[in-house]
Amino acid sequence: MPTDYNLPVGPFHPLLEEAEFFKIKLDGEVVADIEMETGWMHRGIEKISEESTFDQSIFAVERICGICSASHPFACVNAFEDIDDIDIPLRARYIRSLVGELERIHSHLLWLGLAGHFIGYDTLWMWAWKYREPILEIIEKTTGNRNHYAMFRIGGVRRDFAPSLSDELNEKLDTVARKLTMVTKAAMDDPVLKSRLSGVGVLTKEAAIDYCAVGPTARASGVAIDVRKDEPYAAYDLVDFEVVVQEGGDVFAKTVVRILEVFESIKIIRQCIKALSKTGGAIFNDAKSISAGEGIGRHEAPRGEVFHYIRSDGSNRPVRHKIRAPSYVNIPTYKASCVGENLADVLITLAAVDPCYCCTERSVKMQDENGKELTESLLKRSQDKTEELIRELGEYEAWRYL
Amino acid sequence: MMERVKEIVEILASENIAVDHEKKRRIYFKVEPGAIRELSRKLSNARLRLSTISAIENLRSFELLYHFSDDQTGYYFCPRVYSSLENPEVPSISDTISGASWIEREIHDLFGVNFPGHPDLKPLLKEDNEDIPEQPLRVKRREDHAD
Repeated sequence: MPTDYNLPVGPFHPLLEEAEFFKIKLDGEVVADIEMETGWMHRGIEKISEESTFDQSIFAVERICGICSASHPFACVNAFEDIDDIDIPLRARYIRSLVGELERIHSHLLWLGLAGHFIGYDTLWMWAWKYREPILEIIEKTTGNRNHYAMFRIGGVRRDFAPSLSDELNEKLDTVARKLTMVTKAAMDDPVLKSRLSGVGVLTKEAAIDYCAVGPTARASGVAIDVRKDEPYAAYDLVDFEVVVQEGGDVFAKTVVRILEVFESIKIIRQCIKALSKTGGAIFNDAKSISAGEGIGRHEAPRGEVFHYIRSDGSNRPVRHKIRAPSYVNIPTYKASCVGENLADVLITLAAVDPCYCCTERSVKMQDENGKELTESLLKRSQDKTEELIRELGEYEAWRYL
Repeated sequence: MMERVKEIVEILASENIAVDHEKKRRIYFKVEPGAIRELSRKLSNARLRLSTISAIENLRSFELLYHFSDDQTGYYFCPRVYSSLENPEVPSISDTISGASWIEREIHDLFGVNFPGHPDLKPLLKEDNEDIPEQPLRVKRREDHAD
């Protein structure tokens, strides 16, 4: 009987929240090699952006990802502003950082929940997602949307922060911080979690550097890089925060980095809210055009450095818009972290770099050939079917009120 | 100029490379295709991180712009490599920087640039998808399509 065996994971797999395909070559229970296939979600955004005006580009790149939907416009406006050295008003700088950090918290909590779910710790999943909800409420109150905030514009932000929200936001942050302290203790000191995740899927510092890994994936392997500190933009040079670095390189270290980063983000948000109550002035400097030239913009997204390169020929559209998301450099690290691992540890190792899940909720509107909406009738059909089932079961009244 | 930046500019000077365009924290310079491997090795040894490579199709040349980030200073060092439009070819740097492997595969996939020395230049995004045309991002193909 042959000892090696190829196991396909994906492209549609219950543990992968988006389409990715892994070919895992096994020697017994041990991973001998792993091949990744991408392209299942390719939408040609770079090309779409090059066919859009500068203002439209920002909206287009916002749709790259639903979870980190501020990251791409953040890096994109940084790139536009790099071309022309456009100044941003102080108030807008604070608002930008505020939105960026709120997003980091909800993204990290989303990951924490998923990671808990993947290893069968569903309590952690429910906790993390429960306490993610107040953060989404804050985002909705601040920007008007739970995601796709459309806050960024060249030269500043589109919407102002209402000072009347400060107290409510601080209160909500207090509650979240308190609850998360409990979750952190439950997760980081949990003996089961520790023994399950420690030493699993180790990415060494050398491998992280060799694969050009970024974000928590790199920081958990001892590579202290963070764009917010390395090349401060928005208000990151005006607020006080620490870059969380761990040396382990394993899944546990990545978990610790993300959990501790949530507290750093809360710290930044509080400082931004405080500064915004004292800082007045405009929220954008009007930039009428972008001159010919090239610019690089980046942002430390929850998953790491988002990179945008834009070249302009002086018209109203970019001639080249190159985008590199953090998962693009983090996913290839699987070659270093999964090979030699036990098969049972592979899926949590795959999840540990937090590959970007772009499966945002979408509303589907169905129409028949005459343009009549079918959504309602589908819902009605579903309700009718349930009614029918209840009738078949008998005791109609009792079931109806259950 | 910061000591660290000077150090890196000296590395460029040792390769006879002159900086042709410089703005706040961004340094752009031209490099011959044959020299990119050695330069990448030196920059990587100096602990610069390859962010990505941008492929750009110009009117008369094909351009690859490498983005090396110096995370200690926030500077970007961007070697610019020009190749022919008809048959773009630039030596691969994926043996010195593993992170370049996917980037080169994608550029090969979407623009048809050849990277001699790459161990496995199979398509990254359109593997096993026959509906996607060859080199979908090349302007020439789009012009043909428009006719």
